Amino acid sequence: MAKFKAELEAALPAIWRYAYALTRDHARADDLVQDCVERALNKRHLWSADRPLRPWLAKIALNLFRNGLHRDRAHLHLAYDEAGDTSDLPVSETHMDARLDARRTLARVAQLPEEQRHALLLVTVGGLSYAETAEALGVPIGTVMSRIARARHRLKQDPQPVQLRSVT
Amino acid sequence: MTHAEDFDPTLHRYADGEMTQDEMRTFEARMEANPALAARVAEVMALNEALNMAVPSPQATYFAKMIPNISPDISPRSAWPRRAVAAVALLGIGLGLGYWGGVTRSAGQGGVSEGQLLASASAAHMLYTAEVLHPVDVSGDERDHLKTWLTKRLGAEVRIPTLTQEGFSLVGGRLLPAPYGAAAQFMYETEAGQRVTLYLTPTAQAAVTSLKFNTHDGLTAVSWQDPHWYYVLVGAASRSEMEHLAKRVHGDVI
Repeated sequence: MAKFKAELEAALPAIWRYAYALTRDHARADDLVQDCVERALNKRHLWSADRPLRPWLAKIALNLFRNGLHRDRAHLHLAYDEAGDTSDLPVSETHMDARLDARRTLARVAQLPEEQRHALLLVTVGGLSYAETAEALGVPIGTVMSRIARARHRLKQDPQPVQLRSVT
Repeated sequence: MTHAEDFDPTLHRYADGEMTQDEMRTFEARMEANPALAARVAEVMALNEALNMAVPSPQATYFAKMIPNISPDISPRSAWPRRAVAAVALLGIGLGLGYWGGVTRSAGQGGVSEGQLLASASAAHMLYTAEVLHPVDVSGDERDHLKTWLTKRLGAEVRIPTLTQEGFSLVGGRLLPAPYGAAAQFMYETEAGQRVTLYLTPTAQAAVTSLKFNTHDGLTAVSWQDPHWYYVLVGAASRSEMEHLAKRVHGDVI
């Protein structure tokens, strides 16, 4: 039990970042992670102690997100003003530009095909290994790699989120 | 323009930190000999950096409060961390705004006012009727189990009213903290998904009261005591509809 809790706690920052990248909203990420914790605790008998917890949690978060629970519901969330959200610190103008670009990049990721988007976000933002991502998504490692490669290729090809693409 | 390097798996393994030291050295030698590959690696790493910059990184302490204090003897089904916090918060808001401020007469519970019970019942109503995934702890299909469990936890025989004639079926129930001890909540819904909840908690002093109505923000709460239980029926329905349901419950639980 203590091991489960420790692993859960250790996994949450990565799961939260993944949830944030999916929802692009602090409160929704909180809700998603909170529901994820609740579900993990309810279903913890399904988890065996010799397996890493992170992929399993990522899978739960992905399913919860897919179920659309977090799109239009009233938010009852914990205060997050003490979250230590370093991205809101005062910054220089060039840094601001970089942050705007970063937000745009994240918005473009949201336009990727589902399977590519989850593979890319789990690895880059969630910090999961290819093996962990493969487990979370239930596909072979080779598939994870090719989804990531296709996602990155597409982001390079498609600099604008809304644009008719010419036939090349 | 070809994109051969875009699909080079080693490029992605390098950028994502999947390589051993040896593999990295080999790959870096390849980059030196291949400027197109090196340029693509730089692009991919800049993309990674941008994505990471777009996502805040709350500190570890932020997550500690998301995990409840769980002990092995508590069944997983009754672990409901945030909801408890939120319920307490709602209760606080309810009291603070004087939701039920007009009702302060003691309900005979050693200092717990009727207002507090009404606030708890309506907070629990708002919290759980909005739930899609976990509206109840024990489903209405397990009626007998629900009854046995709550009777045991509340220390007095719990009766679960039937409202099928009124078009409401039992969704299920749960155990809740009450201002004084514990309470049970039963949820009912119509086929169209309209939900009402019945909140009940044992009282120390026996009394029989008539039905009392309180309305706030579209919610109607009907409360009464009879004789060892304090009941609050909450729903977003008209006073007459709620009165009808309350009388049905009242008749059913005696």
